[in-house]
Amino acid sequence: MSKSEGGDQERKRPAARRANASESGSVAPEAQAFAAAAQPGKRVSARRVAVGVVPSANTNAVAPAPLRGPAAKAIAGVRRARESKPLAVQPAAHGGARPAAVGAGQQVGFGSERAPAERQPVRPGGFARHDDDATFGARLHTDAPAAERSSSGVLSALTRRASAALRVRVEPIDEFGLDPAYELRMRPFFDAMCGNYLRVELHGAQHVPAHGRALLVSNHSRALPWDGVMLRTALRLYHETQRQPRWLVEDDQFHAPFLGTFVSRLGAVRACQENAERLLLRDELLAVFPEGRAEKSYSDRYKLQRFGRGGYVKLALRTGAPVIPVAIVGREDPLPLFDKVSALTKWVGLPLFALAPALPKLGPLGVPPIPSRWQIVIGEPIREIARQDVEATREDGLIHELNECVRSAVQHLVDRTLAASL
Amino acid sequence: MTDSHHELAFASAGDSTSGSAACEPGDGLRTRPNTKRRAIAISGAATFLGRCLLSQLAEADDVTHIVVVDLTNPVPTGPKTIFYAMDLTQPGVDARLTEVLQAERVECFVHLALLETPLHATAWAHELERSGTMQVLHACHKQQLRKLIVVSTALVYGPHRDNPNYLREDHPLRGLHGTPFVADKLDVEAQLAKWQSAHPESIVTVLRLASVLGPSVDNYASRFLSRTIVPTVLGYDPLVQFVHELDALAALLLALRRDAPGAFNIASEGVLRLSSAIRLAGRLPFPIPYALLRKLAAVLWMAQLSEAPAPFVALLRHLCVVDASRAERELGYRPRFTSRDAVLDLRAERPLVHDAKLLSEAR
Repeated sequence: MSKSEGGDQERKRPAARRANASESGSVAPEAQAFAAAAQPGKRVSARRVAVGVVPSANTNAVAPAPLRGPAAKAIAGVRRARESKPLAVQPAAHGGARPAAVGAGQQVGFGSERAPAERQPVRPGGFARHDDDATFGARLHTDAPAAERSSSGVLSALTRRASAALRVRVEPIDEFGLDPAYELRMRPFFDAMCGNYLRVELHGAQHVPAHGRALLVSNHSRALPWDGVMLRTALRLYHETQRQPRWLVEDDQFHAPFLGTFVSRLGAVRACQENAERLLLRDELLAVFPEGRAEKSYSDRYKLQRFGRGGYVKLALRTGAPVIPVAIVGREDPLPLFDKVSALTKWVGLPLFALAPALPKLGPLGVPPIPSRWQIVIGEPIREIARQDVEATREDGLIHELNECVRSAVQHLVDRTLAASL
Repeated sequence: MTDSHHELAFASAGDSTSGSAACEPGDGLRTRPNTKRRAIAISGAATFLGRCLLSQLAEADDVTHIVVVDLTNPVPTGPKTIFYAMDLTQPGVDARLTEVLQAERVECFVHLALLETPLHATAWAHELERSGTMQVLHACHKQQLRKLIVVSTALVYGPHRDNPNYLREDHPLRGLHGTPFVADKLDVEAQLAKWQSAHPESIVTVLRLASVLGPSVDNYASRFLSRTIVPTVLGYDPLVQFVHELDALAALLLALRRDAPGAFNIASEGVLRLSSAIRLAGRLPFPIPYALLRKLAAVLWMAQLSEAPAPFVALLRHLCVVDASRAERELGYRPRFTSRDAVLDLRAERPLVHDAKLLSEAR
């Protein structure tokens, strides 16, 4: 893809010099390109015409045409990546006009992003010029003329090509690593999984509050990374305010190579008290799976194991978050063959889901689940916890009772869903 | 504006409670003639932060004498600086240091004679950091010093699997196993904690800085992000955090002007993915499996071709990100830059002196 883009640039530069002054700003770009092609002595490549690029280096401010085709996608990606990155050398901005430290209203923790107006503007007639410049990865100061850059050696040319081919991820992230731009790109895939493949049905979405913190306590399905992702997607699709929960993952999942980074970019957070408390104090929706890394056999898959030691109960009491039970039930469990899981994982040394064949574009998301119908049932907030106050965190016996209470609530939801679906 | 700012600084010198309250600009326009002698001693003034501090204090009105203790006289000297050549690795230097502190009536000691970047000369580094600090603390004890500021690093928490995303100051200091650079810093912090408990009326401030980045600083982080091909660990992309050199300097000045005992994490706003940091610096990441990378790093370090020893590879795999909210609450530290700005400024070549002027306003 980078090669075709590079080829485009080589062809565009001579054409840019040739095609000038004959185009006016009001004519549609495709028409201009065709007009240029129609004139004798001017060769306009068919791909460039198809892509809708206007080969004009004059000062007419021509808006780029809507792009089509694979080369077009590459160019659009390049432009998007470049525009989203603040450029380093801004002498005017630096002389004391730096934006002040982050205002209180900012949600993402990355601080003072430069306003779009302060970024390098697209120069008039600069569309062709920007596509000449493939060095968006290697160099950030764009004031060097194209001629100088093209003659700077084989290594830098290779670097330029390589950085053009790599996925450029410099978009700002929130303070726990959620990458909104990345998630946006993954959205069509997850929406398809949720809607068509797993056919997730969400019941009881009204129990999730529209504002404020809440703790969703759920059972673990055996398709480990998928339950958190599907909970998030389902709430985004079917909840009235499209709230999305952050979910806590165990160390094994979080530190698995590739998988850990992938789920972290989608909103997962490593499970520990400090992280969970920080998220809840930010009034976020948090989903926990207190069963932990439960390697249950197939026949016991809907019998909930012990919910840890009730750490999440103490967390809810400390932060005043309502505890809402959630049941995730898939009609057919995805991995009936892997019953002897523990022996296999001990032998290989990696958790089961990391053994999955890596889907190159999406990262390994565990074994892709069998297309069964999933049901996510959200129950009412647990009243017993809402009645307690913060002092209750000191009484271990009470914490244990509340823990059991939550577990039985989730078990009840699971049983009810199973009974209803039979 | 400047007058009231210096009035502010002078007022907060003796009064620890007025720190956060007296923050409004235009507070008092009356000027007090500055006849009181205020002497500050700086050890390790030839380090990056030391030189920055010297240039700032040379212009500040509330400091009358700057006592510089170092091997060689650093370049930005002025009428206020008094230089004493001392080698902190020599035994018996604490007696001389005590004499100097008593003669100059120093009331605040800024101990910057610590390494910013790991060295091959580990024996000398051990002497400098551990015994040097011991001698300094001994001299401060004799002098009954009121205030001591030490700059440490956030690496003392260590990049471990089970680190929470935002490490607070009360988190156990586990350090980085196998590297004397971090082990020495841990020892220094332990010595300071012991000294503080022995001298409860003194104020010991420890600033744990994240990796300092900027246009003029030179340490393992800046060298790492200045390679053309940057090695990373295959399959891992942890969150990283930096502090812009001007934010680090601002934190040091705040620690000087306000009395805030204890440890403070100092970092610039926001975090980045390691891959984003590398790409923002305009470099090419090259993922290598962890075991292979460690061996490679060990070999390169032995061959003196690398900027950090092999255990630092753990920083590319697990996160070590600190929470700077205690500094915000008690020191009044407001980072003016983000980690993203710090990485971007690595590529920009702007002289530091213009930017340092910004620090004297609006703090």
